[in-house]
Amino acid sequence: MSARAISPLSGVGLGWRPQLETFADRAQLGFAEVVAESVDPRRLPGGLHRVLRGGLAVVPHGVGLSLGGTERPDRRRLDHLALLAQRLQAPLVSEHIAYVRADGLEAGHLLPVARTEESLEILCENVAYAQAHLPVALALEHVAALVEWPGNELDEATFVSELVARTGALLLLDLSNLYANAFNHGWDPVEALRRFPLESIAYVHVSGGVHRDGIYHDTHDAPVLPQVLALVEELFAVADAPGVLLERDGNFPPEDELAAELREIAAAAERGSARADRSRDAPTRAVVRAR
Amino acid sequence: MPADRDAVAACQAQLLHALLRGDGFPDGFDGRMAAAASLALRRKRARAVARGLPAVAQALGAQFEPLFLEHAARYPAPSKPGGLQDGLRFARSVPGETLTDAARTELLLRRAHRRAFLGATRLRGAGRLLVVLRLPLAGLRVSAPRCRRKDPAQ
Repeated sequence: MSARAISPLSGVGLGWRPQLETFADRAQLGFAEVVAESVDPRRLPGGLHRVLRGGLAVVPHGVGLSLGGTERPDRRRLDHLALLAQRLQAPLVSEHIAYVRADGLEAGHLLPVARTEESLEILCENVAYAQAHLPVALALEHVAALVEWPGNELDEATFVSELVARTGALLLLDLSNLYANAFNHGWDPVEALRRFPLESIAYVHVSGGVHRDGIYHDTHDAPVLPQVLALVEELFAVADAPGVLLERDGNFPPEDELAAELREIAAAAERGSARADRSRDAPTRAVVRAR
Repeated sequence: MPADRDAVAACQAQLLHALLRGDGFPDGFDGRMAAAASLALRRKRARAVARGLPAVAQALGAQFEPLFLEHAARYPAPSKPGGLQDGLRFARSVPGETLTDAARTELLLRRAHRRAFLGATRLRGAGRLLVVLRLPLAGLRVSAPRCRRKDPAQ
């Protein structure tokens, strides 16, 4: 089955933020996403109501469940996510393969888990617990991480594939995170991309960042890099991928710049699809592009 | 072998503590990347605080980030999301004379976000005392009576 068949999300989407609400009102978006912890399901912001009334699918995107942590996901956080999914009539929700707290302390950031069999077991239990409390499908996003655990046993693509296979969760493929990790830790992003479970993609993230002192930082406050757009093209060349969503969290650009960026993302996806159509019999495509 | 959650929890906590402080990373981590990760994490906190208290950040100017990074290494972020609680605690460590009237007003109004509150701050430029009172049901009351200036030259 292709990812298009399992995901209703298509086109180019935008992470809805209060600062972008007038843009979101006017832009021709394919879908949207909202940071789950930033909204009260009982009092949705007016701008988000307008997006919903326009018929767009809005995905709640959680950052606080700490699915990679050793404690069971918090019921109140799960209830919040579940209620928000209902209020938004969301087709699915998404969260991260990460931990955000330990020992009573908040990281304020998504921290990587060690890629070991032990972590996989903990993640599988936590994901199953979350899935049992959510009214819709859960998609999992791999994170950008500057630190790598010294005890890593698996590479990222293998680890994520295992997790998706064992839990039945969908994949939120973040091409900027893939680029960041590949650049910072010396992997080949294209080779890694092909080994992610592309048939399970719910949707795709892209965002901008900056290179500083030889390190790439996924800051979400700069334009998307050409290298990341190349990965969008590559993805659509090898897989029948669903929608791609831009995350922008700061240093908000003028509306025409943002609109141009969304068009560039769409163009990259179209170039990839065109390449796929030209090489219909390529073996990689035969695996993931079911027709 | 079932996952040893306690051992994993201890390792995760050790990394988190080190990232918050900026030192003491467990063996085997790449020191350069770990230091960069810690700085990025504290800078992210700084940006959230600057969004929550823009007038305070503006008043401190170029000094805001170094001052906040030092504070962040000593105090982990509060569990409440957003930068406001973090910012209010940081502001307590900032010498009052470095803050503008706008920053003082912002801090006082932000501190009043609770059920009951009484606070005041001297607005030197305006020569007024800003008093904020919040009571349950009654809501927020703000008054700014004239006050004698400490420094008549101002």
